[in-house]
Parts: sequence; structure tokens; C-alpha cells
Amino acid sequence: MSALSLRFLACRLWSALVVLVGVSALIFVATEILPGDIAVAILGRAATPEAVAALREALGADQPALHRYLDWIGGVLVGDFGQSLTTGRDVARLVTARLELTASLAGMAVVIAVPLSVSAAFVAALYRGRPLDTILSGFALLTACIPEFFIGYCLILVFAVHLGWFPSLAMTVPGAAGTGDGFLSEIEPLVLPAVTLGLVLVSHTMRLARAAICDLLEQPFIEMARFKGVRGARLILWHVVPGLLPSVAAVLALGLAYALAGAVIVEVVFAYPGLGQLLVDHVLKRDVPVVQACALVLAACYVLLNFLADLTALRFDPRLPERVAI
Amino acid sequence: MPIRRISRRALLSGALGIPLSTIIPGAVKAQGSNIRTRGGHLRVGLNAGSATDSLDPVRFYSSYQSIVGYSFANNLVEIGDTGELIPELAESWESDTNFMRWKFRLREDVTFHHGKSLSSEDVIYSLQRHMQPESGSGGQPYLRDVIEMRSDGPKEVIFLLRRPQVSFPYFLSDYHLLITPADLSPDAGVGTGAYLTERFEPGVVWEGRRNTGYWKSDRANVDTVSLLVINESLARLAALRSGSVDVINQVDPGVAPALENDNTTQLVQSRGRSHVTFPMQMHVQPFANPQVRTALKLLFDRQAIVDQVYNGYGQIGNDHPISPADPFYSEIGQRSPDPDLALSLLRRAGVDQPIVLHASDIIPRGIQLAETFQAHATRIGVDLRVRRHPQDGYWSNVWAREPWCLALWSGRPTPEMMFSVAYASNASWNETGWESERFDFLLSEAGRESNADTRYEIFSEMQELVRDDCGTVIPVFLDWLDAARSRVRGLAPSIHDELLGKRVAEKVWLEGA
Repeated sequence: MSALSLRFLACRLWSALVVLVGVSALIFVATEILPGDIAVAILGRAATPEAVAALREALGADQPALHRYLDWIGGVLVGDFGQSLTTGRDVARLVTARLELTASLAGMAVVIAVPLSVSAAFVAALYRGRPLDTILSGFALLTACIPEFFIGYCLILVFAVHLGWFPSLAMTVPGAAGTGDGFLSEIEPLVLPAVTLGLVLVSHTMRLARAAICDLLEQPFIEMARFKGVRGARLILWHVVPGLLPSVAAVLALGLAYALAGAVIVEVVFAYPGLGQLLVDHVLKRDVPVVQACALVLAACYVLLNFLADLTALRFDPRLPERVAI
Repeated sequence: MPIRRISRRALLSGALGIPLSTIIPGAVKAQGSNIRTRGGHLRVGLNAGSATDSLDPVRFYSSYQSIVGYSFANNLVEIGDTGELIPELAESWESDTNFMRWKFRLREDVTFHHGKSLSSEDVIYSLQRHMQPESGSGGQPYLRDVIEMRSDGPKEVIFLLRRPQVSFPYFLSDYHLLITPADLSPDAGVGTGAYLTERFEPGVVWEGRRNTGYWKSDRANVDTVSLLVINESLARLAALRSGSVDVINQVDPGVAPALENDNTTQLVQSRGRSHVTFPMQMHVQPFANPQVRTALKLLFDRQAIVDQVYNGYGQIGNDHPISPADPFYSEIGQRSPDPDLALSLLRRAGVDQPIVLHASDIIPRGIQLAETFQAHATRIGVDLRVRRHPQDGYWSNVWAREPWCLALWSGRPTPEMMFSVAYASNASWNETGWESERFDFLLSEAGRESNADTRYEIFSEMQELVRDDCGTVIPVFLDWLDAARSRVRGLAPSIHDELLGKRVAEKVWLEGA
């Protein structure tokens, strides 16, 4: 790896860190100005002023804001996200467990969405302007317009209620409809939510990929390849696909990040205990350590995935180091 | 299907230490087969679970937690499906003649899940935790009058009260006041109940296995129970219809008729005590003016609200919190809408600013309800505006803070419980700031009155006082709507609460299990 690439990498890593620190400050400020008080939220309608004051003190909510921010960041740096204010459980463990669930849902959505959208994008780009392109692009636009919960309920109505192929609940329930054994029984409840999330991803990914392919097909080197007599699958596999990888990686990274952070609506529809649901539950209770940890982890996912996309671009796009060097 | 009303006399005799038989005459009649079958796995899809939930009864605040609580633990007394008092962990009770010293005798044959025998120290330990001022327990108001609890041997507990309280045993039926063992952490999920806690993932699921030595021989029919959190109403419905769960609660009134007509499901409609209130801050203008308050009570067509907003699944209210299904419901006469009188009262009061009503969907169909009010007001030219609020933070930021808003109450087993938590001048949840000397006097009178007819007279006058003077509109009592797959048996209406008074896990059985 050249010095230039290394410098590029270091540069990206540094900006990722700066972004994360900025995000942590934003998260902290946001949780500070969230209306409502943790003590009141915990005690509920039964709160007396004395009980609220005692609880605030016990929770350390009476300390100055900067002090609490530094405390928090200091803990995060050594992997200590603190304890949940409402349940006293370890936040890191709580978040990791839910992150795994959300990641498997998002991963499955991407596994469904990417092959589907890239192949659809190829077909649409190769038949640009013809009816097939119009149909595919129209379909992508349609799924982009329909809200996730509507897609989710439509799928439930057809595949869970009428056909009974898949359960309508994404959590594994012993004795639920359509549960088999082993790996399939783990996957089965995830199918409908993953397809729902996948369809939303398809619309974004397919349209971006189609634009990138159209763009590539007009490049001089493709024209050159055509002049040399390269046709069909060979043209696509050897000439278009490598040029496409950087943009697909970027789209994929954004899609995956979206699926991680945007799964919350799908989680609600399918009663799936993911990170989004955890975040919502704790926002309602003003359980700040958990809210901060969830938000920071999601932000870190975004940054990390973008970083990985940059790496891919670096590997496959020969132009990049020069561009950085200028 | 309306449920049989229990007579006032029977209701009272239960409170006074002559417990009714545990078999409720004719109240619970399951559809189809009445022969209880043992076994099977029951899956219940429930609303209002959160990742912040705990198994400690002091920390209970939601319907989900109370249903979990009643699956692994018991109260001293139970409220039956017609609202009557049933002995639970206490086999009998008695009081002195002025109802200030109560003695509860515990059952002999009860042990906790970990083998410890139930004793008076467990009862005192469990209840004492709610009485700590900083506990923040929702059960605190019911123990406020308790000065002292002491054990009289291992099986007897004596309560000394600050003032006469003839229906004190009812107070001990509150879902927070579950009995947990004194030698274990209160959030261990260990009790004397029908199911042993196998797994608890807050906001996801609670799972239980049958307590083979359960002391109620006719209960705990299914082998295992899963109480699943499905907060979204449509998702609960989909889970029921696709067979992923057997029972759900809080069915949306809009889709309820579809369940009634489906032969794979059953809808259980309970006429209950849950109601929506519209509290006005009585020291804030324009609501400080009695003419304005009366006008706002006269403005609305209640039957239209029940029919349009709740699809008919409710009963009209009479601006006081006692349900028409309650044996103490007074025949003082239903207030009927009179928009013309309302308009002239508002004109006379000189209201020139728009009246603002704060609403949220944390109350079932709250926004739609407020907008229907607005429509009724606009029809006669009254400028009423609706401010919408998110569900998040509604109880701490809007309720009882904004001059006029919506609120939701689940109702209480006796009128004095309802009146003392929310209508007495010094009540912690007095949401209007209403103060009435006469009302407070009547409330303390009711505490020492054991004659059912006299109590009816007292409660009747109290209902009239709230209806006419208190700054609240109570337009509707909401029905509890539960639904189940048709193989679920024993799910019947209950005046007390949803899902068989929240004791669904130990009361139902599965056909063909």
C-alpha cells in the first residue's frame, strides 16, 4: 500500500473520530434539552416533590452538565456506558444484545435487497428508456413512496394471516405458527420484516445503481471495449462491474446504516426487540445513559460503514489517491 | 354482553368479613365446553410493555406489568368478575366496630415458589415497601391511612388505620400490593402465584411454568404461559389472526366488529369502570367561572361520541367517575346535551378568547375524541381549539398542568377508592383542584357507614356534587375489549378490569390441549 493511500486512510480515520466526538456532544446536548425529567418519568404520576428531589440526587442529575458529559465520555472510552437509571442493568450489555438482533435483521434485509436491486439496475440500465426500464424504475419509485409500516402490514395480511407461511411476530415464540427446527426456525420469523426493510432499501439502491451504470456505460473505456468487440456478459463482468464497485459500496454502506437506524418502525410492526425499540422505550422513561449509548452506537455504525465504503473505493477506484494528493 | 350486577348488600357483606363463596354464582359462563382441560401453551399478546419494566411490584405502572404480576403472585384479596370481593391469600378478615382496626387471617396451605411458607412477615414486608415516602409506588394512596401493621402470630396481620375505612379490604386488591417473600429480592419474580417465572426479558416477554402445588385447585390450567409485548394495536391483531398468539388485549374499537364476525376468534367486551376525563384547572380563567364549566358539560352529545369515536363500545358518562355498571351508580339523572343553553351561558360569562383543549392519543382515540368535541362546539359557533401532544411526556408535561386537557382513568373497585384518589380536596391526583367541604365530609362518613342503603345515599350525593360542581367532563366509560382464538375457553367479561381482571393466565384453559 502506497504512502499516499496510507495518508488517505489516516485522513479518513481522523475525520471519523472528529465526527464521533461531535456526535457525542450533540447527543449529550439533545438529551439535556429533552423536555421532562428522569425523576418525574421514573416516579410517574405518583411523584411528590420530595421523592423527585431525592431521586435526582441519587441519580447524580443535580451535577453540572459539563461534569456529567466528561464523566460519560471518560466511561465510554474505557467501554463503560454506565447503568440504566430505571433498571440498574449494564448499558453496554443491554445495547450489545439488542444491536445483535438489529444487525441480523439489517443484514438479512441487505442480503435480500442488494442482489435484487443490482440485477434490476443492470436490466433497467441496459434497456434504458424502454418499457422494462420504466416498469422497474416505476416499481422502485413506488416502494420508496409507500411507508414501511404499510408494506409490513400488507405482507402480514397476505403471508401471515391468509397464507400462514410466516409468523407475523419477528421474535421467536415457542409453539408459534410455522416454527420448525434449527437454522430455518431462526430465520423464518425474520423473513417478513427483512423483506419489508429490504423493499425500502431496494428502491434507494436500485435507483442509485441504475444511475451509476448508465453513467459508466457512457464512459469512453466502455465504448473502447465495445469497439474491440466485447459484448454481453463479458462486457458487464470485466468492464462495468469493477467500475461499479465503489459506488455500490457507498450505496450499500448507506443502506445498511439506514437499515440499522431506520429499522425502528419495522421493529414496532413485527414486535421485534431490536435496538430501535430499546431506544424508544428508554426515551419515554428519560433513561439517559441508555439513550446516549444507543444513539452513539448507531452513529458509530454510520461512521464505520462509511469508512469501509471508502476503503472499498480506495481498493477499486484507481483514481482516488491522485485525487487526494492534489 | 353486559354482566350480572351484584347487589349492594352482597358487595358489602364481602367487605365486612363474611367472605362470599369462591364460586361466583352464574357470573362466569364460558362459551362451549365448560369442562376445564389441563395443559397446553398459552401465548398472550399485550400492550404497554417496555424495556424499562421490572418485576418489583413497587415499580409497576402498566397493564403489562400487572398481568405479569398476577401470573406469579397474589394479593390478600381478589376482585371477582362482577366486582365482588373474594378471599385470596387472606382466608378471612374482620374489623372492630369503628372499622379502624382490621385483622386478616392468612391461608395455612400457601407456600412461595422457593418453598418458604407464607407468613405475616412476608405480608408486612411487601406492603411496607409501598409505604416508604420515596418509593414512588402507585399503590401508596391505598395504604395512606395505615398507621401500623403488626403480626399476630405467623398467620395473622393486624392493620391500624388513621380513620374508619369500611371498605379497607378492597384497597388491598390493588395490583401493586402483591405479596412477595421477605427473604428474596422483590424483583426476583417469586411469589405464591400460579406460574413460576422462567424467563423475563423486559419489553419482550415473560414466560412462566405451572406451579404444580398451586393452592387454588380450580385455576392454573395451562402448562406454560408466554406474555408477549406487542405494543402496536394492529400488530397485536395480526398476531392473533395469524395464530401467533392466543389472546390479546385492548382491541381497537374500529376493528372489533370484524373479530365478532370471524368464527376463528372471539371478542370479549366488558362493561367496566375505565373512563376518560376532561379536567379543567378550576383556579385558571375561564374555567374558574362556574358558568363556563357548566356550559362545557352541556355542549356535547355523549351518545354521538360513544357511537362515532368508540364505535359503540362504551357507555355514556354523567360527569362523575362512577360507572353505570357499578352497583353504586346513582339514578340522579343523566345530563343531556343542551347546546343552546351552553351558548347562552358562555355569552353571559363573556368568554371572548378561544378555549383550548389539550389532547393526545395516549388516551385511546384521544385526538379524535377532542376533535369531535371541537366539531360539536363549532356547530354552535363556539371557538374551541385542539392542541395535539405526543404520547411521550404527556402525564408529566400536559396533564393537570394545561388549563384543560384529556385524561384516562382505569376506575376503582369501590366509589370511595375512586373519590379518595382523585376527587377529595387533598387527593394526590386531584386533577382539577376542586375543593368541596361537603364532599370531603361525605367521604369520611362513607368510611364509617356499613349500611348498604345509607352508603348508596352518600355516594349518590357525592356523584351529584362531582357532576354539578367539579370542573371535569366525563363523557364516556370505555369498554374493555379482549380477543382470543376460539380454542381459548373461560375468557369472560369482567367489570373489574380487562382480561378477567388481569388474571387471564390462571383463569383460562385451552380446548383440545
